[in-house]
Formats: sequence, structure tokens, C-alpha cells
Amino acid sequence: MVLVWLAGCEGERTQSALHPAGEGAQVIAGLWWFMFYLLGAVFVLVMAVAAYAIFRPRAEGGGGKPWGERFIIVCGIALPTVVLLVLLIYALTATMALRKPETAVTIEVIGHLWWWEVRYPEHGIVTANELHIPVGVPVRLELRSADVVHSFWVPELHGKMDLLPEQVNTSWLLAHRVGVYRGQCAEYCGQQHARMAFHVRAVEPSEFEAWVAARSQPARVLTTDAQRRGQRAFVEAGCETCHTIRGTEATGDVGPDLTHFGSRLTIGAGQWRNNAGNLSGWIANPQALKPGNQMPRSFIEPEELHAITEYLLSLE
Amino acid sequence: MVNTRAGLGSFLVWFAMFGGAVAWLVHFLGIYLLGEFGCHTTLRDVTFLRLTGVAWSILAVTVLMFALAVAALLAAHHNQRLIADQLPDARDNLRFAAHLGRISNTLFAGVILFQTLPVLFYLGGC
Amino acid sequence: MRESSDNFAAFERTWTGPARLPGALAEVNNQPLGKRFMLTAFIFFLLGGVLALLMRVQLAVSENEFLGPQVYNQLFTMHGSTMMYLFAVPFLEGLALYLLPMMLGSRDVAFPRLTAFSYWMFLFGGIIFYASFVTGDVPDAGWFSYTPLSGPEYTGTRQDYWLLGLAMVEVAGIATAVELVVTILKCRAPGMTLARLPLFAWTILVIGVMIIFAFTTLLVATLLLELDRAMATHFFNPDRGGNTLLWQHLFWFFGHPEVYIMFLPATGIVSMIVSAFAGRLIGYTLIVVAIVVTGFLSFGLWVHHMYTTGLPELAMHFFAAASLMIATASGVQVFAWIATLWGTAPAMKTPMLYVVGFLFLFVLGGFTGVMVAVVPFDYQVHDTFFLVAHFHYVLIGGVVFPVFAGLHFWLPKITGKMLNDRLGMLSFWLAFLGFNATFFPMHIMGFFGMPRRVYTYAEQLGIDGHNLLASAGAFVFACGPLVFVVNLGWSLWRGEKAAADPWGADTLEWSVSSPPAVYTFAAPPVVRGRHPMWAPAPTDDAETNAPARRITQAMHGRPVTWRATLVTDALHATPQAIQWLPGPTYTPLLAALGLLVAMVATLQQYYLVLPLGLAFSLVAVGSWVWPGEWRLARMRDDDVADAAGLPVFPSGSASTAWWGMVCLLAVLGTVFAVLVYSYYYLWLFSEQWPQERLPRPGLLWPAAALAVLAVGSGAIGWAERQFNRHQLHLTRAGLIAATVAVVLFLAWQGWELYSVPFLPQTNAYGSIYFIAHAALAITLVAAGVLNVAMLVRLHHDPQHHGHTLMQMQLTAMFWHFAVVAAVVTLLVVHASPWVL
Repeated sequence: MVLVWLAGCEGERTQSALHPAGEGAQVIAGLWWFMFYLLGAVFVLVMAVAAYAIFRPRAEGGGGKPWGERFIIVCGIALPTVVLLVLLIYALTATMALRKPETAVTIEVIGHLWWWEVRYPEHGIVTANELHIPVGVPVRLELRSADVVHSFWVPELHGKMDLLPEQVNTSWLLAHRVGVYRGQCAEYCGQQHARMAFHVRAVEPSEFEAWVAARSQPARVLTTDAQRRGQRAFVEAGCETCHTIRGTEATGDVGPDLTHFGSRLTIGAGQWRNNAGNLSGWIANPQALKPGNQMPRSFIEPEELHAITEYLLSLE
Repeated sequence: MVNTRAGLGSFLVWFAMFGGAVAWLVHFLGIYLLGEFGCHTTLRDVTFLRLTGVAWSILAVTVLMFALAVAALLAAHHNQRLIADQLPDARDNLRFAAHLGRISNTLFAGVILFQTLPVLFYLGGC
Repeated sequence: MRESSDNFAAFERTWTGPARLPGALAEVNNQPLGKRFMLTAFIFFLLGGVLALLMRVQLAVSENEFLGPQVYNQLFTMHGSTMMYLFAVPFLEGLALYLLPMMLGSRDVAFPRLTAFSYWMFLFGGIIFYASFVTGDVPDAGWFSYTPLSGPEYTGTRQDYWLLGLAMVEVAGIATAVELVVTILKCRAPGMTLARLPLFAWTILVIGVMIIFAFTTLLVATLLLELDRAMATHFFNPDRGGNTLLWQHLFWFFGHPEVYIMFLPATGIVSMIVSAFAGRLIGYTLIVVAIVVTGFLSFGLWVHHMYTTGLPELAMHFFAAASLMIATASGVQVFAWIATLWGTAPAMKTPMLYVVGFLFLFVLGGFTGVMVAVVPFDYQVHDTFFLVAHFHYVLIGGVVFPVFAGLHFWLPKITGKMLNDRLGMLSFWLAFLGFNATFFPMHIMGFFGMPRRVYTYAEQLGIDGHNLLASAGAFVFACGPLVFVVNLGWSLWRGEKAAADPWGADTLEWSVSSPPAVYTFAAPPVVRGRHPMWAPAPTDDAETNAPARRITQAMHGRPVTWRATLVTDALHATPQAIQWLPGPTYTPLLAALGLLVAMVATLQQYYLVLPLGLAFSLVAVGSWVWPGEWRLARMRDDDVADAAGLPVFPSGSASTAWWGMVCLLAVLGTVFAVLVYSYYYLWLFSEQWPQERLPRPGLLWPAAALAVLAVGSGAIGWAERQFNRHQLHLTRAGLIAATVAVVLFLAWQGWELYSVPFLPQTNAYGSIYFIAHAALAITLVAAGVLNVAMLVRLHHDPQHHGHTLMQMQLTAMFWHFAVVAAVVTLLVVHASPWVL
């Protein structure tokens, strides 16, 4: 029953360490199943011995003495040491298998209270809450924090690594399959720790090249009047003091870069689908959706709100 | 007072009981400090016979402390034989101390070796 | 005959404390205070449980809006802090305070006033924690309080409630630990050698020593963090050269031993119950080895909470190896219990049932513990609900179940009434089934991506069902302790009267009536085997019998006008002295109140009141430690010493005060060790040292100051020798010379700190430089005060009594420690920046 439950027969999982889609997660899942069977068998054995010792009817002459101290030394020290030795060696081998591979692509991830800044230093791309990686190519991650301790975790691809304010930690991802993998902050970081998620989109290498080429450009040229009105409203409402949209006068560095915002999957750090309804609700009052976050409530007229929404969604 | 009458030095009693534990403690703190601090210093870059300075130092600490734990184990054996042969009327706590020393020193000596195992995987780095 | 029964009535009056308020506040006896400890801790346990239920309601379904993020974060912080700091350790210490004297054959613990002091500190600390609910400013940085989230930049006053409350609880924990260690080493019945020490006492002895090192480390860490918050130092501020990982290291150097500090006494309880129900004990020595090994290895595990912080892989695997090997120690205990129970068909009464439940839950939690010790596996499950499941199996299964087993086992002794066995079984099954329904699904939630400490989770994770089951199970689980409370009430109201030994158990506490007399033993019992209640006393044991019989007779109902107990040798338990014990006094309460005032002043930022509170507290401690002349005279004049052939003024290692001083020095030594570690840790991650191109510290003046201090140390040693030769004038001269040396050294320190071109607020280097000097200065001031106190004592009591000798020894011990501390501190702070 436990096995069925663990295997997750309830269909596709979106954030499961037992449904690996990447190299790191696969090694660790293998380690888990090895330990599960090994230690599971030992557990059943120990419980059986204990149950027999306690519940068997009283022996004649007041209880047998199962080899006294030698029994304890063999079962309590010798056998466990053998099992633990096997485990330690397996663990060390697994750690070796998780050594950071040589790679060409480097992504910087910077943790903020409660969102993720994502940078591709070699390509000059800055985005947020989304990583694009090529399938089958190891990607190096350089992790640090702008404020408190966070932890970067995409269970389907690899284990977690903390983001510290004083040093850069490194990790890596290697996706086996194309897909969208959800990740989440795993170190308690204050009020909205629960709403600090992100997505990793693993795509074919050729598609990745195309994505890099497109994203290296500044924000696209506006085509409709509504979009142009939205851009003006964006500036007038003061959004530009915190957000950057490359190619425009918006150069703030407090909140996420919005240069290609229209192509993002979610808003609010992996929380809500990125569409006009959710977005205008978020802009109107982010504090209602995610209390405590840095973005203040805005007092924008409905038409302007609509225009800003249309403008932002057009920035693909 | 009791010990001298029993022909068993007080230091030997205590060493046979806790020598292994102390050896483990020194060993553990030593290899931790080498692993944490040594891996941030030049000790990491010095190599001799393809082993880093960190690995050499850890192995050296291990040999020393393993020897200390084994010495404590031998002391416990010695005490136990002494009690069996020459001091049959010794107090039960001396017997207990020697017996405790035999088991715990063996265990600590084993743990010292077990704990050094990871070094074999990190002879050339941290 | 008439006279002796009058005497006995007077003896009982001497021991009886005031029953009503306000006199009851002056109580120092271990029995009422042990009960107060346990009751207070149990109330905190129930409060922490209510917080947990509220959390489970919030998590029952995804995207729930029952509590909201802020409240949820406050609740999980307070739940963890309550269970770890206010329930588990204080409860077990309370149980030990109550039981140990009974188990060891003593009339009270070694330092009764310290018992009272630590109770008040614990209570006041808990009140500070929970006062945050009244002001609405509840701590929300987690029970682990990671920096920088808990630092001044991100958290307001609410974190000060946590830090200051915790500081008081830690002081209580350390004080009780010292108390318990000295009690076990010195207050045993004649004949109770280390080889005959009950296993529960072994576990308390080991955790007492662990607490001294672990809690002191946390105490220093909390003080450093509070300095960061209140005084703008930078120990943990990465913007100014501080290091956030330093907090994690210090916290977990406390945090992991803490787990075993809770777990080991629980195994002690299990060992006592198992041997009582099996009627025998197999593997005593092996269990003792396991306890000792666990105590040591538990200090080699702390980094396994930090596998994902980017430490060198090699260093992490040392901790992985230690974390794996500690499983063998638990394996030994489990198989020793199995061997003991083998084929004895123990009666399935409530205590035994809880023990069986413990075996299942603890072994399961132990196996997941082995898994999380494996570094790569921890990369995935660290800080997920898998971890939550694991440690609740270990802490509830491994600690709370044995605690309930112990309550059902010992409450008849404490209250004198039996508990109802059927209600007991009901409480067990509710707790056991509810527990598994709550926590087993959490393993799976963790695998499916649910991190810890989240107030909600996304529906797409597909774990709504698991969470709902866990929440439902939590309410079933909560019924278990509730049924127990009903059972306790019922038994007090109309429970069956308990016999002295209702379980046929083996240790000395079952030899006295239920409930026991407040002095526990009218005459010191004599022990002749490991199981005093099972083995009939041999009639002709020439070696121990004759002197022991003389002492037993001499001390039966005596001394009459002052409280006293027998102290014995630490290893062999041969009688050494008759130890005076204090009666009711308000000084511990006043000392704790002074500290409470100091803490509240810090909380409210009335920094001028802070020294007043501290000074008040110090005066109270001074009057507590200083013996009255009438008391010494009464002890001198009593003929019990001659009758028993034992001194009433022991000195050296025969006295409890000597051992208390050793423990105090261990605490202070740990403080300096933590500061030295912090110094080098900060250095390790700094580009320059001293930071920000500050000049390197001077060498010449510190060398000169140390030379002066060394002369002082020599003067103290000389004074002690002169004292032993009854040369009181020369003794005085030595003491005065040493005092002058201290004053000169402190003057140099003051000048040094005044003249350096930086402040504690400049950067982390400045912070650690000042705190190291400050710790040293406080130690040396204490040494100076002890010198002056010794001079005053010599003035009062020129005739060289035993008590004066003891004080001279203690003064010299502290002095030599202080000089070593000075050498180490100055080598680290002044010399090492030139050398390394």
C-alpha cells in the first residue's frame, strides 16, 4: 500500500522528488529506493524479533535468555555496522556521481524576499521566476541571496542548495526530458516563504538558442495605441522606479525585470497564471494576494489599469 | 585509596574507561577543523604523492587517535586480566569499569576508522 | 524513647517547608519543585499542542485562508520553541529532580537553592515567550532563528521576546544540569558504585554533561545575536564582515546534542520500565556504553543540518559517518531491551504498552534518521515534510511516548494513587493511531514537494488528501493526552491507593512510601547490588557493613536542627561527609526576579534599568552563597559528625561545592571556546584580518599585563599554601597581591579598549575583539571579587575552619582558570593575527 502511495498513481506530479526528470534527481531517487528496500527489510526484521520477544508465551522457568550480551553485540553493533558501511560507501559513490559537470551555460539566481532574479551573464538576459535550460546539457547555477537565506529546489531535477547573503554557492541542473518543472524556496525566509516558487522550462537545445536570441533584444516595439497608452501609464503610476523594461525609461532595480514579461508563465513568483484578469488584480492590490510583499497597492483608474495590463502582456 | 590497595592505578582505571572516547573527540574535532578550515587554506593546494595536505593531515590524526583508542582498549584488557588473576576480591565497579572500557574503546576505535573512510574519496580535493 | 520520638518530630519539622503562600515561594526541596517543574512543562506541552492543532487546521486543504501567513509563521515558531525549550528538557529535568534523590538514596539534590532558582528562571523565561501573545508581537523567525532573518534588519522587537525568554530558559537548563550531575556523582547511597547506578541516572548524568556544553554554546549565540540587535554589533551581519553561517554552526552545535539530551533520558525511562516488567535486566554494561557513546557522538552530528549550505563535501561526510554510526548505539539499546523482555511475557499494563509503541515509532524514526544522514538524499528531503515526519517520529515516538510511559509508571509514587489502566490504554491507542495517521503521510508529502514552514501549498502538488488525513489524525492524537489528564484527575479524586512498590520494580525509589516523605529517607539506605529491591541484602558483607551501619544509625532522623544528606565518593560510593543542605529561602526567587527585570528592561530598551536588575540579582546570589555565622556554629556544635565518624565541613573533591565549581568552570570554558571558534570562523571568511585595514593589535602591553596576572596567580598559589600552614597574615598578603594584579590587568584592558581606533559597531572584527575582552574582564572581576570575599572570610573566621578551607580552594580554582582564560584570549586576539 505504501508503495502504491509512494509511486503516486494519481497521475502526473508537478514537484515530486520521486518522479525524476533530471540527472541529479535520478541519482538521488535511485539512492532512495536502495535505502527503502534495504532499511525497510531490516525494519521488518527488527520488529518481528521484538514482537516475538515480547508476545511469545512465557517460557518454562521464567523466560529464555537469548545468548545474553553476545546477542546484543551481534544484532546491535556488528550487523548495523555492516549495513551502515554499505550505506556510507553507496552515499559517497552517489556524491561522486553528483559532482558538478563541466558546462558552458551559467545561470545566476539571486534570491529576493519573495521572488527569484534570474540572470544569464553570458547572454545579458535578466528575467525572474523562470529558468530556461536546454535539455541534455548541464547548466551551472551560481546562487546567492540579496537579503536572507533562501534555498533553490526543483525536486524533479535535483536536490536543493541554499542561497546565502555572504557567499556564492554553486549547483547544476541537467534535464533529461522537455517539460516545465516547478521549484520552490525550501529555506524559511519570512512571511511569504510559501509563495516563493518558480518554474524551470527545459527545451530542446535549438529552441534554447532561439530563446536566447529573442531575449537578448530590448523590449519589443509597441504596435497598438492601447499598448502605448499603457506604457505611459506605467511610467506615470511610478512602476518604473522599481521595475526595468529594457529599451524604455523604466530602470528600477527593486522588483523583477519586466522586459519580456508577456512570455512568463506566472505572476507573483510562480503563484498565479499570467493572464489579463490575474495581472490586473495583482497590479491593483498585490497586498491582497500576497500580503507583506514589497509591491505597494496602486490607485490607478480602471482604464489605465487595463492599458498597463495590455502593455505588459504584449512584452513577449 | 581503594585503587592503590587493589593495585590498580586511578589513572589507568579512568583511561581504560574513557580513553577511546577522548580519542574520538580529538579525532573528530581535528578532522572537522581540517575539513572546514583546511579546505579554505593553502593546505588544500599542497600535494605530496598525489594526496593533498588536507588528506595527509587527516590520515595522520587518524593514525594517532586510533592508536590512542587501541591503547585504551589494551589498558582495559590489562585491567580485566589483573582483576581476574590477582584481585579476585576487587569491587564490582572495577570489573564494570574494565568491561565498559573493552566495549566502548572497541566501538570508538571502529568509529574512528569508519569516520576516516570519506577521506579515501577525497584524496585529491575537498 | 520519648526523647527520640520528639527528636524525630523536630527532624520532620526541619524538613517540612511552608505549605501556603507566600512561604511556598521560598520552597527549595526537590519534591515540590520537581512537581512544579513537571506541571509547568506539561502546561506548556498542552499549549504547544493547541498551536499544532491550529496549524493542522490551516494546512488541511490547499490555499486555505484560516490563519494567514503571519499568524501561521508565529504559530510554527512558538510551537517548535515551546516543545523544544519549554516542554521536553524542563519536563525531563523536573522528573530527574524529583526522582533522582529517591533512586540514589539521598534526601535532596546537591544544591536545593539552585533547583528553586532554575525553576523560577524557567517559569519567567516561559512567561516572556508567551507574553508576546499578549502584546501581539509574536516571534516568527522559527525555533532555529536563522540569521539574517532574525537580525535587526528584518525583525522587530518580537525576536527579542524569543531571545531573552530563551536566554532565561537556557540558564535554568544549565543550572539544573550542574545540579543533577553533582547529585549523581556525590549524593549516592553507600555501596551504590558506578556499576550499580540505575540506568535512568546514567542517562541523566550523561545529558547533564551534554547540557553544560551544548546549552552554554546556545546561550553565547543568543547573547551575540541580541547584541547584534540591541547594540548594533555585526557578528551575524554579512554587510559588515559578519557571517550568517556562524549562527547556524553555533545553533546546531547546540541543536543536535539537544535531540539526544531529550532522547537519552527517555531511553533511561524505557530501561527502568522494561526491567521492572521483565523482572530482570540483560546488558547493563552495554546500555551504559550506548549511553556514553551517544553522548559523545551527538557532538559530531551538527553539520548534518547544514548539508545544503555549501560546505566542503569532505567535511560534510565526516558528519555523515558520525550520524550513521550513532545508530549502532541506539541498536544496542533496542536489542538490550529485546533480550531483557525475551520470553518473559511482560504484563501489558499502560506503561509497558507505551514502551511497545515507543519501540515501533522510534525504530521507524531512527531508520529515516539514518536516511537523512546520507548527504545526497538529504539534498532532496532537507527542509521538507519528510523531515517533519522523521523528527516527529523520533521526538514524539522516541521522547513523548516514553514520557507518558514514565508518567503512568511513576505517578503512583508521586501522588500515592494508582491511575486507571483502562483509561491509560485508551489514551495509548488514541495517541498511537492518531500519531501515525498524522505523521506517516508527511513522509510522502515531503517527496511530493512540500517544503517545511509553509503556511499553504499549491493544489497542483497533489497532496490535499495526505494533508487532510494528517489534520484529522492530529485531532485523534490530541485526545490521547486529554484522556491522560482525565485519568490523572480521576485518580487524584478516587484512585486506588498505591503501594510502595506497585510494579515489583528494582530501584530504591520503590522502597519508600507512596507518596514519599519530604526528606525521602529517614536514614541513608545502604546498597549491595544493582537491583536493591530484588536482591536480599547479604547479612555478612564485612567490608561495607560495619562503617555503613554506624553511619545509618548516626544519621537516622539526624541532624535534627538542620537539613543534611550523606555525600559519597564519585566512583566507589564510599561515605565521605555529611553535607549541609539549605532550608526555605527567598534568595533564589529574588535572584531570578532581578534577571527578569534585566530582561524586560532590555526588551523595552530601558537600558538604564538593565544594570540595576543585574546588580539586584548579584546581591541576591551573594547573600545566598555567603553562609551565616549561626549556621556554621550550629553545624560545628552538632555531635552527628562524631557519631557518624564523618566531617560536616568537607573540602576538596569530597565536597559538592568543589564539583559545582568544576561544572561552573566547564561552563565558562565553553564560553571562551565558543568565542575563540567564532573569532577564527569570522576570520576564515574575511578577505583581510583585521577587517577593513584596521591595525593589528598590540603585543607588548598584553604581554606585560599577562606577566602581572601570572604574578597574581603565583600569589594565590602561595596564599593557599600559607593558609594550609596556618600563616593567616601571609595568606592575606598573597590575596592582596593577587587583587592588585587583577586591578592592574583590568586597568590595562580598559585603556586598551579605550584607545583602539574602532568600536564594537565598526565591523565584525571590532565586535569579536570587544566581546572577547569583555568576557575576560567579567571573569577577572569575578576572580577579584572572590579574593575580596576570601579576605572578608579570613577576617570573620580567623580560626581556620573547614568551611574557610573550602572557600580558599574554590577561590584558587577559579583564579587558575581565569589566568588560563586570559592567556588563551590574549594569544588568540593579540598574537594570532601576527602569526597566522
